[in-house]
Amino acid sequence: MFENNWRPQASQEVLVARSKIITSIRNFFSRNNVLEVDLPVLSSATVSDPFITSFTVNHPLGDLYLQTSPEYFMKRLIAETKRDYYYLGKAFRADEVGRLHNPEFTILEWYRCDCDEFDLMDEIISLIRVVSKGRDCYKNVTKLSYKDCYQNTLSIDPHSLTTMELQTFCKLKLGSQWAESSRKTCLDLIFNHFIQPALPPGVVFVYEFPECQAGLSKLKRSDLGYCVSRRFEVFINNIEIANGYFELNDSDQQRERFESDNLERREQSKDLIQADKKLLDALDYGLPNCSGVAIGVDRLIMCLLNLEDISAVMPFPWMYQ
Amino acid sequence: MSSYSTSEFKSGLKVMLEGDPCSIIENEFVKPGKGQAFNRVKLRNLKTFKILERTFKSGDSLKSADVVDMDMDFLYDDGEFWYFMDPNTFEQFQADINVIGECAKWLSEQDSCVVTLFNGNPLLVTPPNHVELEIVETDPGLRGDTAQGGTKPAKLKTGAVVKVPLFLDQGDVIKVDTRSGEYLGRVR
Repeated sequence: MFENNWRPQASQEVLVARSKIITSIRNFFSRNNVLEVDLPVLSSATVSDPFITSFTVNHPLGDLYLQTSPEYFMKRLIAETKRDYYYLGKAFRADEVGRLHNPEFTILEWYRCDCDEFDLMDEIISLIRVVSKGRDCYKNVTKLSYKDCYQNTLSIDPHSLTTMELQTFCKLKLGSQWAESSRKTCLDLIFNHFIQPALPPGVVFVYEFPECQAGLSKLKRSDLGYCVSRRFEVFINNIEIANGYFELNDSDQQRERFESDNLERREQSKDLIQADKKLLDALDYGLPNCSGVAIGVDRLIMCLLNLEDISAVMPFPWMYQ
Repeated sequence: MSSYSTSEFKSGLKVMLEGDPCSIIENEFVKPGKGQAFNRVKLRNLKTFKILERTFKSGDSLKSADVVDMDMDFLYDDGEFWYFMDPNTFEQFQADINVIGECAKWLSEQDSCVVTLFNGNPLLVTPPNHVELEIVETDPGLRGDTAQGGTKPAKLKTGAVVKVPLFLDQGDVIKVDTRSGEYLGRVR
């Protein structure tokens, strides 16, 4: 019987547009003196984030992981050479399949030495201008702190509410199955259900994420006295496109983050992830102050082309490989 | 009883939610880059027809609902129950007014319709999309007025009232779309 599954899924028109966008990204970085670097996708180490699952590849000399982002390699490279790089290539996250997720995807990640997160946000705006060819909807740029987003929409301060208050909110609004959720999960639920849909149209930067959602960013004390992270995210028309940090470069704090991730993993009965010794050594050697951001390129292209499903910009999406 | 995990949820799947059978309308996988994965699911309660929205942790599961759609012939009603027959097994089923609901006003004997069974009992009856019914009551027809706009109410044999063009008369048989209640044309 003749089957249609062999056919590419993205249209010819989309593939041409995609190729042009990729070329304009490379030209942008070449003009701005950021060096492209090709990094391994297989490594003996992987991300410890309890909400990200790596693919494991069996090998006679020991298991390897497909990289969920080039972050650790980039930081080792920058620690040695103290210059700016970008990676444009594949990353992998198991268990993420949906309208906005494909387990194998294209990531654009770059780092700027001696830049803080706000400098990097400005460069992201320039990049989006270039790839969107100045189309109007991308000229509308808003920067909002995480706290302002909550206050504008729900009139609550996410940083000063107790975990129990957040749990009660989730239970009331989303059902009793969420009553015992962690602070992190409560905030994710509230953000996704109530904040994200209310973000202004166009390009939106949300910065100063809560301390419990710091990822690998530095922390700082806010004007109101509590600790916030120097992490930001980028949304285009309410869709999450990128995540960035003013990068943590203190090896002791990095070690603590690895440990607390593993504590969470243990609570959730997930496999523990060994701390990446090579990353810790690189931080000990000295990572300059720098900011870095990772953009989901497929999603960015999807938004630029006004498409609804990430599989429409991939020739062979998940289940068609 | 089998159950389905969030990754298996898809449109049309019948599951049990809070004690009632539901049909999944939409399932969206949500995963913040750095956070908990969850599924935002839209379902229709098959008893009340209400649309529900629920958020599940990815990997959670729901029990399957024993719900099947079957083509059956409508036999007759006795005012209290409506009787249907599976034309393959000749097995008969009875449905009360709660199950029949709005459908009652479209059904004529011998019509073939879809009966949704839940645990073997009728849960819902869906009439044919198009039915042909005789007009039993309407204002006299305006002869020759076949082109002008304008409608009038007409009562059909089964009790339904639909808007029809002015030229139609009592005794005419018309075709109606049961989903919208719209007049489609005169049959004879």
